[in-house]
Amino acid sequence: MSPSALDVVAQHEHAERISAALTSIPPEYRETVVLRFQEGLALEEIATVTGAPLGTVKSRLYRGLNLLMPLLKGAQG
Amino acid sequence: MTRDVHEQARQRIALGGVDGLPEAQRTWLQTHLHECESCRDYAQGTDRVIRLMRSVPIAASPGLVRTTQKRVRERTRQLREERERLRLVGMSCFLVGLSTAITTPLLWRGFEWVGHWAEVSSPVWQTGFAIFWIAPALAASLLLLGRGVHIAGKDSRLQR
Repeated sequence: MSPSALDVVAQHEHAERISAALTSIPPEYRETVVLRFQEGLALEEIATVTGAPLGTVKSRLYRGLNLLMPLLKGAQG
Repeated sequence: MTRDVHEQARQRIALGGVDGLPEAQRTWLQTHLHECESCRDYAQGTDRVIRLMRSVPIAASPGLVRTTQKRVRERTRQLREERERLRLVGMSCFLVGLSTAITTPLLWRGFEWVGHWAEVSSPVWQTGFAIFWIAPALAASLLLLGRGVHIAGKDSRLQR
């Protein structure tokens, strides 16, 4: 069964909200969060790709998630 | 319970979740989550954000794609250079080892011959041989140390 127009709109709004939340956090946090949760890279791989030390990657991921949490509060997973 | 304990628990949740941790840390975190309501809320919040992130394909902004591609290319170049440098160092080590294995007995005989010709005692020419044998390596090491030359390049991780 294909999704209804309402479902498509809801899905689109959902994606927009997540995109907006991501855009509002600092780029280095956004990059780490996207590479981790969208691209599924391991922390070591992110460190390699970004050229940042592993400790920095960990701290960016932690802070990035902390910034995203209030922004996405109430959004349906 | 100190603030550090909660901070530590939250960092572990954010970085790997309960399942991604080693046994000892997982047990510690599970115990902590059982006792601490705010960290339990944090874990749920993190889980929700991660599920949200994975639930929709988000097109990365062109800026992010450009920056990441640039970094990947830069890192690939660095890794290629490091590999090339290490290959050269390895080859040099092999050649030096081979040349040492071949020339040391010849040098030894040469020093022995000169020692007999100059009519000096064995310990004298043997000491001379030892100094001659070790001096170039020692001089090169001191020179490289003085110049701060390392195997890896300027930007390489091997220097960190």
